[in-house]
Amino acid sequence: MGPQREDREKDISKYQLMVDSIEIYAIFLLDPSGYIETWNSGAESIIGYSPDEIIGKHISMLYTPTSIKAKEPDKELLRATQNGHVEDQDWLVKKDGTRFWASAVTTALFNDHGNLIGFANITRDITDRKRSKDALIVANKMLKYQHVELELLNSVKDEFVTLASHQLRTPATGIKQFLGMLLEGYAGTLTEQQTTFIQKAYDSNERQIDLVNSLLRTAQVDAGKVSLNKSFVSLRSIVNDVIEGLRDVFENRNQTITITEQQPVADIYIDEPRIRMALENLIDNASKYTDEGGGITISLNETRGYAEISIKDTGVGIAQHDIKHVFDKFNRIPNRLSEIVGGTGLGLYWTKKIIALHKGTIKVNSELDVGTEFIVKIPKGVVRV
Amino acid sequence: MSVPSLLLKFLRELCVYNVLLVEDDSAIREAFAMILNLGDKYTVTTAENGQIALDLCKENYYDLILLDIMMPILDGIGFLKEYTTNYDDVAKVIIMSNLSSGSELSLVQDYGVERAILKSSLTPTKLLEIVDETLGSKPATT
Repeated sequence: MGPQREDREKDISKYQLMVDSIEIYAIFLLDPSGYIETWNSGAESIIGYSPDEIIGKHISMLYTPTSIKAKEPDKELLRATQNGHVEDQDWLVKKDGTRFWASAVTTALFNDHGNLIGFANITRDITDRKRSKDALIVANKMLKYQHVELELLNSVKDEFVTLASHQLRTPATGIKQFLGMLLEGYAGTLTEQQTTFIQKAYDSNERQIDLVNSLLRTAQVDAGKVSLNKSFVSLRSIVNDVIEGLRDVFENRNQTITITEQQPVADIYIDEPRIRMALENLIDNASKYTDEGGGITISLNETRGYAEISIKDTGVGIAQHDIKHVFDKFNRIPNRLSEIVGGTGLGLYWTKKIIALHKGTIKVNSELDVGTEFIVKIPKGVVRV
Repeated sequence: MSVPSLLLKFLRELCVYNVLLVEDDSAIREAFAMILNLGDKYTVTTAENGQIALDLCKENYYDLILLDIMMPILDGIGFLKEYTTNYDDVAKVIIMSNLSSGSELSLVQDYGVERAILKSSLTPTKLLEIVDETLGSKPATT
């Protein structure tokens, strides 16, 4: 035995030792027909058979019945022969009959003359990895399903609110007409006490109508069912109209209202009824949250591409930590006037949405006990030719 | 009935506008009909839905139709489609909706509707004013 051959045999036994001691990979050799020739300790610990039990058996005994029926073992060896090697993942069967998800590389072995002398197979058990991947896929599917379900529920909710609002408002409209006839004297003169009682019932019914209207408007805007009907309108004339409509409110509270137009604002392209309502919400709020005798200043201005309107009051103001919540749905910020004022917590939410639909912005500056300023900017829109 | 009194009745009927009120809610229907009858200036006929209204329009002429939108059997839009395409000598129409969703405005444009009003914002006096304005008569005296 020459020294070269001795070294080579030493190398081979070192490799043998290494292959044998690898526990996390099943490493084994097959003859050209697929019969198992060697079996390392990794193969034994992963698959369960001892070398005595498995050597000489065909590789197909590790496959599932379905794979055997589909001739997977032969196909795999053929692919390895044709391509040099093949990588695959599939269920394999352990000695105890349980299955594991195997990631395997099968390499075809050729001698110096190019003849196939067998295959080397390295297999890992990646069942855990597959399980977590499968779990992720399932979780992902569940999430998608839940998302669809939530969207459906949301649209059912929107429809319910719309329908319920219509149904609630119809009787309230009937009540309003009959009480209105009494109050407006169409059924003869009422005593002072009768008038007071009926007026209270009428006002209460009006609050109900307002509430239902707010809910319905909010449901529409939430459901994305608002399509703007735009035309060119003078912002100044809208503000004048709103103030005229609220004149009694200001007079009753002895509040002064000042309008300044820093420069003439050109007509803007907007959905007039909706912007009117948005401004009415802001101006009405300014009055409600300002003490009797206070003042409200409305300034109109025009900046590049935008009409700007500021509504500034000398009212109760909003604490810094509450400012970011003023536009939240159903949110009412407690202050010393909020109990008297009443409200739904929907006005500012809706207002912001409507301004956003116009691609405009609304900002709020406020200081507690000093006052609040809302600044609305609305793009002027298409230039009128 | 004597001839002069018949003549007087006929003349009076000539001066009285015929109004058709189409509304499915009985309380609102009754209230609006009462209000419109207050001034003795209108003869008010009521219909519970668009189909009944169409049938009435086949036999009668109305100066004004007050039309609800959401109704069973045939809604206000269905009524307008049929009425404006297949009926001659159509009346002025005021649509009564409950919330301005913007679609009323397109109805006004598409069907030549006179105006759209919000039912829940009406008071009896306001309703009379709107009807008088639309028919071009003086406000009702009560």
